[in-house]
Amino acid sequence: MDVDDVTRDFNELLRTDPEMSAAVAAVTVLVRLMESNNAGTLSELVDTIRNATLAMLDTDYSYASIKSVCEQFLRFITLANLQDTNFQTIMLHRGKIFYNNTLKARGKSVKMAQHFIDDGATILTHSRSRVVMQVLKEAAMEKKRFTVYVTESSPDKSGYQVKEELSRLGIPVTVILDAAVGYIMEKVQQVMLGAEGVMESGGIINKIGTYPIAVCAQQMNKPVYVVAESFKFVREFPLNQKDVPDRFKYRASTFKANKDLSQEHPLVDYTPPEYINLMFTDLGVLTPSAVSDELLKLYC
Amino acid sequence: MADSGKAISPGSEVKKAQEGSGKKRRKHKKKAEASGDGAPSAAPVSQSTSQSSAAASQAEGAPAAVNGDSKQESNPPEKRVARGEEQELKDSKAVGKVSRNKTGTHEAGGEEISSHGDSSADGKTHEKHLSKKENKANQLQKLKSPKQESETGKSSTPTTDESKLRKDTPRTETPKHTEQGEKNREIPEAKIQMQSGKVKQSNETPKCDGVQQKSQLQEQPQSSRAEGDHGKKPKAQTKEVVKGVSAVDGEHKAKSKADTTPGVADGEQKSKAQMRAERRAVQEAQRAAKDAKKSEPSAGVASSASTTTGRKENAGEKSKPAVEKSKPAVDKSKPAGDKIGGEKNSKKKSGGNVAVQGETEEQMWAKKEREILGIALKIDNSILNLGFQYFHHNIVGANARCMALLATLKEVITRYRTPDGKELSRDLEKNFLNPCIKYINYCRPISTSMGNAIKHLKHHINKIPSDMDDETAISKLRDEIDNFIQVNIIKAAEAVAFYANTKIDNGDVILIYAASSLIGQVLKTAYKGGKRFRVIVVEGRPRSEGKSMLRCLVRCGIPCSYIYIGSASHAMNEATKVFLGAAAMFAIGDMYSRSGNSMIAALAKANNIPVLVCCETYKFTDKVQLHTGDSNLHTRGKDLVSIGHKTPILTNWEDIGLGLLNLMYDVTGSEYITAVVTEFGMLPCTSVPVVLRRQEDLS
Repeated sequence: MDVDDVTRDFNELLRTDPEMSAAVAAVTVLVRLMESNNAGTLSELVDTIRNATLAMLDTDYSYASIKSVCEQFLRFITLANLQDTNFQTIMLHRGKIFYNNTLKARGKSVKMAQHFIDDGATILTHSRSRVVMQVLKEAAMEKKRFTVYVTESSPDKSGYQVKEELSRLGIPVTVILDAAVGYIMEKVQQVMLGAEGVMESGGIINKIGTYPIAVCAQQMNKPVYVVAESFKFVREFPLNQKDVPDRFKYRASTFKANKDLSQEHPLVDYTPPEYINLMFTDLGVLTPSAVSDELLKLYC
Repeated sequence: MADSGKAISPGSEVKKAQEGSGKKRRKHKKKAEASGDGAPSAAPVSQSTSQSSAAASQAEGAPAAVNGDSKQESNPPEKRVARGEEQELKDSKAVGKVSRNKTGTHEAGGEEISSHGDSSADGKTHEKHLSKKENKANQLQKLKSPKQESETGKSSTPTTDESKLRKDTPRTETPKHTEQGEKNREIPEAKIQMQSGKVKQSNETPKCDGVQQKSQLQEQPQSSRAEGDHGKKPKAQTKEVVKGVSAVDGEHKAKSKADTTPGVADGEQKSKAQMRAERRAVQEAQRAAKDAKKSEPSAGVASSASTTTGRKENAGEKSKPAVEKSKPAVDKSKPAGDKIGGEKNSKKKSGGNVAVQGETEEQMWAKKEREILGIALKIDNSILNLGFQYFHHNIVGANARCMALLATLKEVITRYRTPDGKELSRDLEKNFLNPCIKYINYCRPISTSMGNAIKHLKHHINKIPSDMDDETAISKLRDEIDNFIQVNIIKAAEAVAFYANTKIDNGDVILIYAASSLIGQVLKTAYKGGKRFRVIVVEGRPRSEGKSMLRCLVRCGIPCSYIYIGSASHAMNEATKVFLGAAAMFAIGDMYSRSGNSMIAALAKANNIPVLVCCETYKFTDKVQLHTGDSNLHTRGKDLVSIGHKTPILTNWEDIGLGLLNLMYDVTGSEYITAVVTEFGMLPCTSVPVVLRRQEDLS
């Protein structure tokens, strides 16, 4: 299996199942890679995985998610005792464990979030996050009554898609302009967001427009909750918006086209940890400061 | 005590082992081992010889006549000559002028002294010593500028040295190898630097030299002049006596005489030469006191005094009279002090430097000093030396203080022999180390860095099996100390510099406060790595540590600005990032550092400028301090009043009933800190307890 196969597989997976997270697809591809690979040495295998990662990062899917999950994957499988010459088996075994954990991660995070949606709640969300959608759908299935405000979220106007989906389940949804967030904030009780990546500081990278929502919410004392799986924890520590690496902000195709980045609109922004109240992850309900703890556990 | 030779020796062994060429290292190691072996037998001899050499080297001075003079010592065994020579070499710090210093920088001297002091096994390695010393002297001579006087922040220089010489530690992410070449180039200077860093608080590159030295020199004639008045004003002058006599450049002396008045403390840091001189004087005074107590003939003093003068011809004119005066002065001061202090309560515990009612602050400091002298008699000489250096703020900065302590402890442990019927793992700590630590803590409350290092050492002492013989155990402990320094200070600094480098962009304007050895290293590494940025150095009083930091950075080629903290809000308009160095990090994420840091952090936060704190993890503590006032770490109020060369405007504060409070540290809330850069990477400051927990789990 070579680089082209990887890319093709990856794209195929995401095309056939739009609900799948890019990270899950990445792990699937990596496990398949390990199964078919005949690397003679450990470092050869690691190299193969790294090359596959780079290939997937070259696609237009969420850079932050893919990067974080591939790094964690590699870390997890090499964390075993590899004295045994049969490292292939061990690593493959661990890779499959990681894959299973990844599959279950979203379900667990969604479950953590359920407790925080009460009857009669008014929730503001931003753009279309698969995880948040699942949270809301499951809450509706538990017969909770709540209303949802969703931002239109330029440039892809995915807010309308949210309205369509949730209306089918009978949830009252209103699409608001991105600029109307300040106007609507006094009506909502909580803000629920997804994340593309969770930074070492405890802040998140999410669709552009997240940061002003979080700032406004904090100013008006509305809790901000983030639902994110633990494989999105990435080892970056941005100090401010400018400090976020460019690869996170723009799609790979933009880079390849060598466009002038100062003329391009960034697709994501960074929300510092002080604006986030709680994070619902598969590891439990965490405060933003616990992210670093988890990362230290994993990487050091 | 009176063993000048056993000066702090920021790890004479450590240094020797770590720095310099391999050849040097081997030699030094041999010497260290030899000294360890020969310690018991040669102890009395070494003591007396070191004393005489200490006395001899009272005055700072031109090393020109050093080598020749040293041989003039009265009935010196060969050892003493060698030691004397070495001491001369060491003493010959560049007092304000590089040219004067034939043998190199202060620190080099200091270390040699210390090493010599304890190298009782001179008999074995004497010849080697001589030749080694000469080699070293030659090497030192080649070096250019003397080190910066110190006191400024933590020592940054050792790292360059260490990184080159040490094998790789388990640090996974280390800075790029391109730095190696530069380090190689810097080795000789860095070596001295390291010595100085360990001995004192130098955090400068070798290139940084002493404009400050000049100003500090001005203190010296004060002190020497003060000696004359000593009998009359014991309280004010005791300090001066301790400062000692120092050889001063003619012009400096004249200038300072004109400008300064006796008894006026200089807020600025002292030069290495001055510190050494003070140390000599202290040792001399202590030895004299000891002699007086033991009713030894004062011939010792006289002979040492004469040898002093003999040896230091171009030393200060006052050296001889000062030396002679110091003895009676000390004696006089004691009864006078007792009289004054008679009404007062018993001395407070360390950290409680509060003058009781009826006592002026100056009297309180003077009394404390005398108490230190008094306590001193039962404690190892190098510890006494170290304590005095701490007391006089000669060694400043968390890293420098920790390294000096470890180096001294290493030396001191070498001299330890388990008494019969006792176990090393218990007796060493209880009867040997604890009194030393207590004394040092009394001289100046120990910092978190020192505390953690001591904890680490004690942990390893406790792990020594009871059947292990002394030699093995002691060498094991010495290795542990070396390892601690390497991993937690030297290599950690490199890792911090590496991570911080990723956050420095081209075109950045970085604001720093006062001095920090780690920040200096971070900036230098980034600049040498090709990043182009400029630095704003914010200065605070009264310690004015920013000056030495500024000098250091400028010599590195970094464009710098220099402002006083009052204009910091103006500077915030331009700054893009703030880098701060910490003395300690508390469990709640607060930072404990030089006073002024919290203001800078709050100001930066108000201007939305990210604040990065660079701190090695060994400075993390699970202590929590709620606000600055919790700890009583303050120093002489007089420093607040002194404004350099000019006469202080406020002189009669004691008479009008005004109290001066010179706080040294403050606490920066975690909400103002954006990130903490450690050797593990960048952490939010809420992760400090996580790191602490991991350290606990691992140990």
